Amino acid sequence: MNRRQFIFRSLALTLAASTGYAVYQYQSLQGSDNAAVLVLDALLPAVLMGALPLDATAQQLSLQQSRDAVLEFLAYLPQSQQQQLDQLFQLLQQDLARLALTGQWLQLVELPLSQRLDLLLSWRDSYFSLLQQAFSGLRELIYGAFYGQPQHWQALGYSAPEFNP
Amino acid sequence: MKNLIADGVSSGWSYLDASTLTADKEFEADVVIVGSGAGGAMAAEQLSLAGFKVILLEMGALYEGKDFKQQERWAYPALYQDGAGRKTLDQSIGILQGRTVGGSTTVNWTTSIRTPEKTLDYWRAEFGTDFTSDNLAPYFQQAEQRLNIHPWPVPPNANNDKLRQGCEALGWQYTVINRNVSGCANLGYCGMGCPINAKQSMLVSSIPSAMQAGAMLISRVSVRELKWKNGQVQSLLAVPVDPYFQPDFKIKLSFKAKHYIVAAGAIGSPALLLRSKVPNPSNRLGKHTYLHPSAISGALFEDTIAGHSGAPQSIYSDQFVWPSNGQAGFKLEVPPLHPVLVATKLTGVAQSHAALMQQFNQLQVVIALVRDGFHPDSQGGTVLLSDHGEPVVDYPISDYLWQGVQSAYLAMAELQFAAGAKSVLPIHQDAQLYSSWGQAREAIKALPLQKYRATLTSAHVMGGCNMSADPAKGVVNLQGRHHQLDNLSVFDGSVLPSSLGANPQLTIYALTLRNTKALVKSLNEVIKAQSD
Repeated sequence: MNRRQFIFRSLALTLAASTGYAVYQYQSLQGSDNAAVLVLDALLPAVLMGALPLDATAQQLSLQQSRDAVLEFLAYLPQSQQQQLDQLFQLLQQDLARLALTGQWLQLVELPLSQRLDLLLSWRDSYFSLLQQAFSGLRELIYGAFYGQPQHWQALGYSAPEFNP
Repeated sequence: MKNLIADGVSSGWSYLDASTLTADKEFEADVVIVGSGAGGAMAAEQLSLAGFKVILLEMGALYEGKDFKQQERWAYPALYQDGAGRKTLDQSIGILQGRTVGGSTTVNWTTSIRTPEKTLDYWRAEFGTDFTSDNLAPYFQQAEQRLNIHPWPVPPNANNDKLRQGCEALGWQYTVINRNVSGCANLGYCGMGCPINAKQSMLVSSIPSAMQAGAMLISRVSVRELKWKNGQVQSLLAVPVDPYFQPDFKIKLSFKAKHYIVAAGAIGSPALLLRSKVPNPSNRLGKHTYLHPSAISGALFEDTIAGHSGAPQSIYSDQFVWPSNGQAGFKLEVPPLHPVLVATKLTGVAQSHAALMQQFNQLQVVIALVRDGFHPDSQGGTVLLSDHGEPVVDYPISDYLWQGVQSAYLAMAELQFAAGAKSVLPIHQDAQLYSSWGQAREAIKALPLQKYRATLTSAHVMGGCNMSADPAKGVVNLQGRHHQLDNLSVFDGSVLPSSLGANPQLTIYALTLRNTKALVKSLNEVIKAQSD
């Protein structure tokens, strides 16, 4: 995976250079040092717009359960893929933090959902293969986690049968 | 409902969950088999019935009958490679592959098709095989009888019926699918493990039969290396896996046998041989890996489709598998439609995705399995090893294959409109819901044929240890014996020298029955020679 590591490094440098900020400055703004949690918490409410429960408490619970389901799932991926994802989450966290900094928002959580969605779509349409992969990979992880939970099936008119209760 | 293996184990069958071991251990048998899917389990049964002491190794866990939960969030991590999230190296193609006792037969959609005539012709011409539909017929029949493979007599569910209706309207070929089921209740949950033991997977047929005849089953064990010397495999080294199926190197297992069969699937088998640095003069080991890369087309209907219910696959169309213009052909089928499978593949994000999901029960989906191989511009992918020694498939998608994908989008949309779809959505990032065939046709022609834009999946991995009469053109001979290592065979989808243009399980069963018969004869001759 040396080629990939190289691409990752050059990409991280490009991003840092293009913003004029050093990477370490963003990280001090983050409340947690777990990049996966930060990225997922920032993206889940945007990706799941229109699907989340309307009630605020139910929505929070749903977001938290979906994030935890993603994190739990990652452990089943092969080691090399987990390492790549770790790197990717670091990179995306910087990308998100940069976006928060360039606006008037001091915290990631204050970044409007529409901007988070735009960022995600910019990854989809990026020239960088790694960001395109990030878009499809994260999308798949998030939707898999959300729609794996029976409480989200009501809108689908679906219920899983139990043949051997 | 019975759990056949668990019941057998309580009455004395030999079974070990390797993850329960606390110390290193050595095993001996006549034949050790790596992998309990279509190849490994079928061979285990035949060898056990022939009186050989067999040990059958499986990296996945033992789940059967009553254990199966009809929820994807349980089934994918428990029963599939990488939690059903396996991908090619550049993440452009998703791969569904079983990793559980019974291998992919435990989770497949039961479609059972004999090897197409044209595929056998190609192998004869290019790889010196001597297979014909006629001389393989006894093995197909044997497998069909063993697994109760027969045309599905129940009307297709709506998802399959739309495929049939579209073909009828357009005058396209279609076939009612043969399924390996007995007492099937038409539930629709084949992909999560049959909860009523109706699917005649290896789990309810060859594995219990082999164990009844004395075979030992070991689950949750990852085989790391074949130790070989002077053209002979000496032993096999393995480790248990942890609860996430990651190899756990603290405990070492070793196996000695007269003969070794590798049947770990077309990704796992080449990977094991690559890790073992076996002789590879043909330079074809881990090369020419085929996937049947599949394009997807969704359609919304007025009527209820409910593609989660009913036999997942009961109709296919071979209208476009063998085009006369030499372009990449494709087979048309449908997948089962469960929430996670649908949500992860559907395009769109946020509101647009949610809106589609709300029409879940009106959604119909067709897949086109592109017949890769068979052409100089379609030579498949390559199995590589990561720094951790785990396999990854590098599969470049050639322009030739992209042409097949585009033709497939067109055919699927035409078919879905002909079947009465209100709108059609090719599963491609730049596609939208189209409301007429004319509109869809023009739009599809303009879709960029690029990875990540088109969602591609695979449920069939083939090749990587291809068979060939000529050692310069293959890894194993026509009996599945390794060309260089005398007491090593490969019995699984990795021996196929091209894709099939059909779902692979029945081909693997038949070739394994044929090759196991030859192996039994050869092992008996060795034993006789030693005793003389």
